[in-house]
Amino acid sequence: MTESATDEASEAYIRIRGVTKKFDAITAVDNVDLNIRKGEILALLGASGCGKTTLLRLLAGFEIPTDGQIAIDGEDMHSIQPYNRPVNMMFQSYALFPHMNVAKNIAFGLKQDRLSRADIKTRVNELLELVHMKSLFNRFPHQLSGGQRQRVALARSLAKSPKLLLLDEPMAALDKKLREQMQLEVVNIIESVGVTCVMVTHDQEEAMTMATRISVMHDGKILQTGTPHKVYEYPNCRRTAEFIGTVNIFSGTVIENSSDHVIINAPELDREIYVDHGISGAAGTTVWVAVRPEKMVISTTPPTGNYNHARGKVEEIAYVGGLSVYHIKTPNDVAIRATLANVDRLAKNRITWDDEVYLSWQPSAAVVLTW
Amino acid sequence: MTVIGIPFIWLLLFLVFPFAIVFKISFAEMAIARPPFTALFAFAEEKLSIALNLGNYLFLLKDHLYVAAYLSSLKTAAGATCLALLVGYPIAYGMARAHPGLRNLLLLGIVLPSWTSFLLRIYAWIGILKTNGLINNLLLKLGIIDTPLHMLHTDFAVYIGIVYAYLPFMVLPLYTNLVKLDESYLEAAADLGAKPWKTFLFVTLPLSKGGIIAGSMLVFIPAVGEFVIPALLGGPDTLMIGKILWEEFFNNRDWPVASAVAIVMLVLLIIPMMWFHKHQSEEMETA
Repeated sequence: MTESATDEASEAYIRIRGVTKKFDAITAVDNVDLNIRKGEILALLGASGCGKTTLLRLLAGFEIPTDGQIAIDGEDMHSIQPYNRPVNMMFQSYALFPHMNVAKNIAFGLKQDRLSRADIKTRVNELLELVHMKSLFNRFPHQLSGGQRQRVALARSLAKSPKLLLLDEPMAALDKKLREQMQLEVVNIIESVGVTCVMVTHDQEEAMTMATRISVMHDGKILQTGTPHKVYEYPNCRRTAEFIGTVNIFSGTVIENSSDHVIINAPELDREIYVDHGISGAAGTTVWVAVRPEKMVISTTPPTGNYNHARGKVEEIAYVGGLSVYHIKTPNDVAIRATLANVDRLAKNRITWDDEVYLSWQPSAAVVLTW
Repeated sequence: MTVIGIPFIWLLLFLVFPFAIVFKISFAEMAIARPPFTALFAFAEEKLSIALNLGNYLFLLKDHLYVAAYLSSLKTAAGATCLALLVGYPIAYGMARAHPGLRNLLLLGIVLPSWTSFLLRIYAWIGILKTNGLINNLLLKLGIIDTPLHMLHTDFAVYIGIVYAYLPFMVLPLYTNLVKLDESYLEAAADLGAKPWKTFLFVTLPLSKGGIIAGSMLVFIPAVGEFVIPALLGGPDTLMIGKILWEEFFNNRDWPVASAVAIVMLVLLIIPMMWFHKHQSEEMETA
């Protein structure tokens, strides 16, 4: 990531520099640096209380940073009030004005800009078209379904063609089925408009589906920023690995470290771990090895090779349709998760409860984490 | 079943029944008797005769005094309601935006004055407003005026009295409404480019419509029939229907006319009340 840092800074459209926000004794956002590219959808992902919403509110102007600088398209935002920022937000509750109909809600922002009546009408119609709400223009918010309300809220926040669109937990108010549909629809609309977007979510699946890049936050800090693929396959620390998807983490010490491989002694496992990439750490360093459950191979016969084995008993099987999640316990009580795709409909010869099984993985499947 | 019936029995005993009596008296004629009016029903020589005297109502319509008193009462009540809204809205808004820990204390501050006697509080205003009262003495001492202002026994004093006495009834419904106002509406308005005063005008104010109507009704309705405040603070020119009612009953001992006055007033007040009720049920539907 260091090699792209200078690149990133030069193409940054929204620049967050050393931003800190304190509420009395609590530091909600702690010295955050972040560059957001023009036209991308960046997801701030983290558990509740990690500071992601505060960071969003700092961008909107509802909070003023205790320290640091936020610039949008080269313009410092520090003394600019929310109503003067080129930023619009879709609220978690949508905050549609209950006393105004759909068209009036969408027109609200345009009216503040003193556009002519005809211009407002044209723009409102464009937006109604964009979110497929044309026929419902004179409904009131309480007469709409959750998905329809979200479309109106999105149209309202896009009406003024903001430089930055903020989405606060965009899917939180929808049920699961509708959520999946709206995730794609919202992304399509945002991409068709081409607006730069920052969204906040605690749902990693949502972040991965919708965002071009994800920033994982914890305790007011950004742990890692990268594409969904990068943060999933190449997490830079244990917390990121654990937060995005599920993962098996084994601690150990480095025995051998060279440019193309590392050998790690993991006391919890039968065999040493062999990873096919080098790390910056001498022999004897404590490290953690992360292996995703889907990269585990389960078999009833002992695998060949000297590295990357574990042995255990099937404790639990969670059948979720497309996948089965196996919870395997090693003789020294380490729980390992492995998933198996259910490609075959027949259930015979399938590994079942209390079976003695072997687990193995490829040298390329594991990631070595140093913190 | 009996529990549900209690409010109805209460209404029957203390609202419907007295109303029926007053309604009946309003159709009688004044008489030097005890009670001082004629009976509606007479049964003599196998004939039931019902004597409905519509003269009282016609008298109210014909006599300029009563029409003027009704109009002046409505005008005074409406004016005082507007003033109470102007004073009460900022108070309620401030309370609703105050720190949650402070709100109950402020609420207590609004309600606390009502714990002393209503009469006493109105009487106290005489001391404040009279020629050598608090305000005049202060203004004279500061050299702002040379001769005392004539404030007591004017319509101005009546307005002050009504606004002062009924302010809590304006503030409380407004406060309950404003405190529920979702902050995210205000943020959304600001986010969409509305300056604070526009947010207030186009979001806060329309969303507090229910509170404004409830508060205004609670001030307007009792203010129309108010008797104590115009009697104590008003002047000889202050024409209010409450005062007329009192004079008809106690000075003229004309119970039938007094009853008719009361019935007409009730009808006048039922109109805004029904409008209020209709608005409330509409509000319920949308919520």
